[in-house]
Amino acid sequence: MPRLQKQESIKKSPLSRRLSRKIPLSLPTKTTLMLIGVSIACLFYADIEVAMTSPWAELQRLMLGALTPSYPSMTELFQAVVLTVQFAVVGVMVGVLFGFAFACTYQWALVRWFCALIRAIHELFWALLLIAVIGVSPLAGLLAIAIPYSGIFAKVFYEMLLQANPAPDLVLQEKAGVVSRFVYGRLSQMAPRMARYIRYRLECALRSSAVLGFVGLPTLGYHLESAVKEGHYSEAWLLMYVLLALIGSKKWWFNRRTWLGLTVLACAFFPFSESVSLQNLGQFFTEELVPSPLRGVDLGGDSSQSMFSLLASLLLPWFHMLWVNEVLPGVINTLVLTMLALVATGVCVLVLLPPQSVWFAGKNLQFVGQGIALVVRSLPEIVLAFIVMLLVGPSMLPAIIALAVHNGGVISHLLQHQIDELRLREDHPKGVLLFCYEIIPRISTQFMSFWLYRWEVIMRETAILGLLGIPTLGFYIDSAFEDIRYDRALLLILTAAALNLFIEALSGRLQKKLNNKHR
Amino acid sequence: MLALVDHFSGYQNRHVLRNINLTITEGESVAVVGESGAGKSTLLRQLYKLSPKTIALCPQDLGLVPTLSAFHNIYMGQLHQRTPLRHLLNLCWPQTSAWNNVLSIAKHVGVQELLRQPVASLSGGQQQRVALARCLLQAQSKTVTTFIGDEPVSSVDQKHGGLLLAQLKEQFTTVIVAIHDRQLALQHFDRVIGIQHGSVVFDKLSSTLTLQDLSVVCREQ
Repeated sequence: MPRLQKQESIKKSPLSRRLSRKIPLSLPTKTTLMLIGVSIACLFYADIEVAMTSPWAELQRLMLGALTPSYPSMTELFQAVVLTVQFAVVGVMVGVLFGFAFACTYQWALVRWFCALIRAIHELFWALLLIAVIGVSPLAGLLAIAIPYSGIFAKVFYEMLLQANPAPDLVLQEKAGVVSRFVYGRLSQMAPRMARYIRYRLECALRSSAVLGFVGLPTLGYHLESAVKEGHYSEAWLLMYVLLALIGSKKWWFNRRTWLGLTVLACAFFPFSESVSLQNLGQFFTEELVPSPLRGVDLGGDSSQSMFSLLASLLLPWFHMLWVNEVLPGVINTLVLTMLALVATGVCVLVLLPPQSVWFAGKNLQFVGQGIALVVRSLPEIVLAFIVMLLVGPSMLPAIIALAVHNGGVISHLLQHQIDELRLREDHPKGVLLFCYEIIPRISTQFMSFWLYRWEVIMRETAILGLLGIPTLGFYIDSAFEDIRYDRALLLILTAAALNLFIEALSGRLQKKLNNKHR
Repeated sequence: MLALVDHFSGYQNRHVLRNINLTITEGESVAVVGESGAGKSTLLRQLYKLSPKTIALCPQDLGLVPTLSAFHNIYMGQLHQRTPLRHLLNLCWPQTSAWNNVLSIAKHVGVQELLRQPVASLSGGQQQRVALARCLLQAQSKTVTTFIGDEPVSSVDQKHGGLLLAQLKEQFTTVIVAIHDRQLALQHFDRVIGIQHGSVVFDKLSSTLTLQDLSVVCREQ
């Protein structure tokens, strides 16, 4: 018996007995420890200083604003709300149309890669790119949502259709055409789930749409940013309340009865052509996107060999300069912030979960706990970061807190339903011991899979928090756009996309491993 | 002493238990027999609620945490002791004293080889033994003197089931067990209670009963 022998050998040396683990670590525990280890290493690179000397005065003004919400111009507010909703509704609907078309052809590698690429680029980066091409126009905002969302819908719809029961399709084989077989056999099964997913995505789109304000499109976020910057906290709070109300009341204004009418109305009144300028469209692609050392260089004429070396001699120094000054620091900061935010998210889940659950909280505390989770998951990360930044000053800290709180709210909400349905033995322990011995081990697999999925989401959002001055890739992208250096911006955006694809693949692999282990 | 007097339980219109009058004194070993759905589980739960502090309970679904090791699941029998920090330490890093204690209990029920494995990877019979070990650990505390088990040996063969019941009787002063094996019921218990449609049909010393008498309430086998 190898195990018994092992124990005997351990008894000989007391030190090794103390260090040896009696029970091998489970896979979720191992993965968690690994992620925590990496993030501790990241801590050494992170800039998490608290720069503000008196956050309490600011906090007081902020709280006062929360109690006295007001807005000077109701017309402006109304226009911002309408535009925010229009971007979200039309953007999602266009995304659904294209996403569905892509889903039908998703078995082609080219379509798969294309969809992966367009969803790896964040809405805000799409907005910056599109604004550079066609100017600050509503169409840019619409496309900024529609493009990445079609990539997301394509993947999700494809996976949903794969999960449909194949039996109806088989019965119809040889008896019906391809289209009717697809519609009756597969689509009809999955339609309710797809509809539910579209409704969920609309909520995300409302947040995205508000956030587009941060790059100059006049949605709720635009007015929110200027209100906070000017210290008009009452206005800022009203705008946040409006956003929360929009998201909270979504099921009443976007449901199976209203969606069609709403979409038609939103399209009919959409200012498609407003301030769209196509004049510099050609110049944009032939000149501004071309790496700056290559502009105006005559590449023809020479033999191909020398052209290649000419290209290399021109491009390499440019690329090297960018790599050292922008790409590498941007990537490192993005990764550092992602890892720290990921671990902080886990901590937030553990803090936010108990007050929401019947096992730990009474009715009143549950109401408060679920309320807090609702608010933090409804407000976009960038808005939360913006507020925290007022209190602790500019560093990575506000970004970490914002990402952790928002994603912690999302995950704890999903887990709360699960733990409330657990059936435990009558003599289960209470309090901390109940949490550590019963609840957490029982939901560990589900927790890990939500957590790892959120890794990708955090990564995407990390990049855009650069717009607030945190030197992630988004910071360098934003500066490149400000300096009208679109060649740099494109390179940086593609780097961010590659990083997203990498994390998506990594977290996908880990999730698969964890799920297989448990089946 | 556990006593139910004129006891009804269930919903307003549908009573799971009707007019139960039952007294179980210390030192007795009682088998509860009856078909599934007769109200055995409800009866046991009502008895447990009379004095949860002094009773170790082994529910029908065992209440094990599948992702935790057998060691931790057995150790959970100790969680009512007021040393939460020690319990948390043992969750992350089992201490030698706790390990040896659990090991000695595990030997009684024959799972000493399985302590390192997560419970999800064990068979039904092994899981039942782990759940019993959790109860046996509770018997170490002086206040816990009674065992209540809902089919605690159903996944173990008759011979080993008998051995496990003997262990339980040795460690607990009072033992109350729902059981569908008529032979085990007569061999190992002083008293047998027959339940049908939520009522007590008979309540006699096992020495006065035969296997035929039990077949009135359990048709199985």
